[in-house]
This record gives sequence, structure tokens and C-alpha cells, in this order.
Amino acid sequence: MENFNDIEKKLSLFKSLKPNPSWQAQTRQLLVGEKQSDLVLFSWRKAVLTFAVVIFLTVGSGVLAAESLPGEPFYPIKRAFERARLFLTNKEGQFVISQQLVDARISELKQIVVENDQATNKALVEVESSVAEIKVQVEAQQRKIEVLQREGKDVTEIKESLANFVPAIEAKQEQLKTIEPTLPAERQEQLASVIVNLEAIKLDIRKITLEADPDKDPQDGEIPQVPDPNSTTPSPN
Amino acid sequence: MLFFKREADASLEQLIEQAKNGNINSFGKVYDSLVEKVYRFIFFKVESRETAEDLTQGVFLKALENIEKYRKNTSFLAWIYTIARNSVIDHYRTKKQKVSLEVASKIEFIDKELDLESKESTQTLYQALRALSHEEREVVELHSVDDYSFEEIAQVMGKAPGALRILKYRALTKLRKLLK
Repeated sequence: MENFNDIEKKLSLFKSLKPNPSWQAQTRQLLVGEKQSDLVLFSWRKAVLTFAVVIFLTVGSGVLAAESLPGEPFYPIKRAFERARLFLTNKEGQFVISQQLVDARISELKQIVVENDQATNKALVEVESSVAEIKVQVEAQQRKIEVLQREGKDVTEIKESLANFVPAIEAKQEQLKTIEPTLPAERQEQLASVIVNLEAIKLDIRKITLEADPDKDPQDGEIPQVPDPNSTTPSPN
Repeated sequence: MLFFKREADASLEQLIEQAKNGNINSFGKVYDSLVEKVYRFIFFKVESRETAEDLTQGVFLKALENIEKYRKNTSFLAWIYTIARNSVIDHYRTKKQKVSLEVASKIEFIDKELDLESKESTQTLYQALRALSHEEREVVELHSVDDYSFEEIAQVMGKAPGALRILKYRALTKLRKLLK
């Protein structure tokens, strides 16, 4: 039989139950701001963000960072700011911002292809990671839909807004396709896989948005499945 | 041990005072020292890693937003844990969610260094903890996991330290029976 000391010892193992370290660091960044010391505290969250935006846009390095491209010294500052912006936005907004970030990465890639061949790889990696972020956001929306469906809630609106992103993704694919021929052969392959990944995201969205609600009455607005006339299965009648 | 604990408390109070005076870095240090504990406090109530992270983030944002309203002569721990408790209540109220007995039948431990035996025994203990009353579980978590003193827990739970000692003794007795 276990004594109290044994139980206490086991309970102390729960100390290993910790939040995800990257979440912890991101939250700290959100609260305190990266590399910002002795800032005056503001009384509400948006003021903190506004202040960060003003600092970012007015301080010389901020302006340089905003214009920077992958591989340049100020680029990590630009990315840190974008991550903070993404982090400060609510879950629905995060999906929209993730898409805007893909656009930003594509635009950087276009600029780099023209200006600097050597940095193309870095820019492609940034595009890949921003597309991966969209995938994460789509999966988050899918989980949300599943939870809401289990709770018997209407998910039509979320599905519709998700479906609206398909044309935007198609536009991104088109943009990338126009860049493709300007790249060296090995980079073309890399870019092709990004386009394929976008296609997969598009298919995921279609699957999610076309999936029937399990709790929904099949006769309630659902198109009944038409039996295959060539089917050999005998009719119950 | 007690000496260090008091010293740490004094340091926390100093940091909070500095944060109130506008030193954001001091608030960052307050966050560093409390985030894991607040996260665990919430996790044990919502039993979902993602929700616990979302709510914990909200707790510290609220604390940051309202730090000017925090009065020095009251307990900061009581203050921040009240925010955490209210966040959990709001979460269940707004989401109309019920505590699922199935959701967290297993908990994942970030600490990969735990050996398999420790992980298994912690899972068993976790299930046993869920059989305790809300208050018993809370006192065990705060005292045995987060190392708060009964005096500190008294501020958080609004009960006398003596009553908390008895509550914890009962909780451990129950756990011992459950783990037989």
C-alpha cells in the first residue's frame, strides 16, 4: 500500500505538465515585446499592439525591416513582427492573415528572382513555411467545425467563409506558376511542390466544406444520393 | 527552504511593484515565474492543452491590462488565480461546454525525460485525482505540485490554512485508497 510520501513523490511528477515552450515564448513576446526594454505599460491589449506598430513603422530599423527580403539583416525583425501580428489576431482572423503572409512571401520571391538569384532559396523556404501555416489554420478550422458539429451547432457560416478562400488560393497558385519559368531548374521543382501543397489545401477545404453534417437530417436540404442505374444490387422493392 | 521562499515572494512583490510603475520587463519576469503554475491550474480544470493555453494567455493579458488596479496590500497570487478561475468559469459559460470524462483520459507530458514507469504511474494518479472533489483536487495541486504554502493557498482558495491542511489530509487518504 502506498504511503503519503509515495503519493507526494508521484504528485511532484505533475510538474512536468507544462505548456508548449514555443507557445510560452510567443505569449511572452506578445505581453512584453521582443527586445523592448523599459517600455511604459499600457492598460489594454490593443494599446500594446498599437504602440508596437508605431515603433515598428517610425523607427528607422522598422522601416528597413518592413522593406527587407529573406537573407537580409533586418528580415528576422520583419518576420517577428508578422508573427506577433498573427498571434494578436483572433482564431478566425489568423487564417486571413496567414493568407496575406503567403502573398507577402510570394511578392518577396518575385522581387528576389529579379534582384538577387542567391537569395531565391531562402525566399522559397519562406513561401513554403507560410503555406504550411495556412495548412495549420485549415486544420484548426476543421477541428473547430467538428467540435461545433458534435455540439449540434450550425457550421454553415464557417464552411462558407472557408470555401471563399479557395479562389484566393487558386490566385496564389497562378502567381507562383508565373514565377516558375524564371527560376533555375532545381528551384522550379521546389516551387512546384509548393503549388502542389496549395492544391492539397484547396482539396482539404473542399472536402471540409462539402462534408455532410453528421447530425443533420439527410432530408433537410441534402441532395439525396442518386442510385447508380447500372448497379447490380437488387432494389429493396 | 522557508527563507528562500520568503525571499522569492519578496522578489515577486518587487517585480509586481516595478511592473505597476511601468516596467514591462518586470512583468515579463512575473509571467516567467507564474506561467507554468497558472497553466497547470487551468489545465486541471479544462483538461485540454489547447484550451488551457488560450485561457492562460488571456489571464496574463488581463493581468497586464489591469495591473494598475491591483492593490499592493492584497495578495497578487489571489488576484491572478481569481482571474484564472473566472476565465475557466467564463469558458464553460460561454462555450456551454461540459467537463468531459473522456477528453483527457490520458494526458501528454511535455517532459520527454520521464521514464515509462513514471508516465504510467502519473496517468493512474491523474485518474485518481479526478475522483476527488474540486476543492480537494485544488489543494493537492497547489500544495504538492506547485509547492505553494498553505498560507499562500489560503489566499487563493479563501479558506483558513488549518482547514486546508485537513482538506489535503482527506484528499491524500482518498488517493491512497484509490491507488490500492
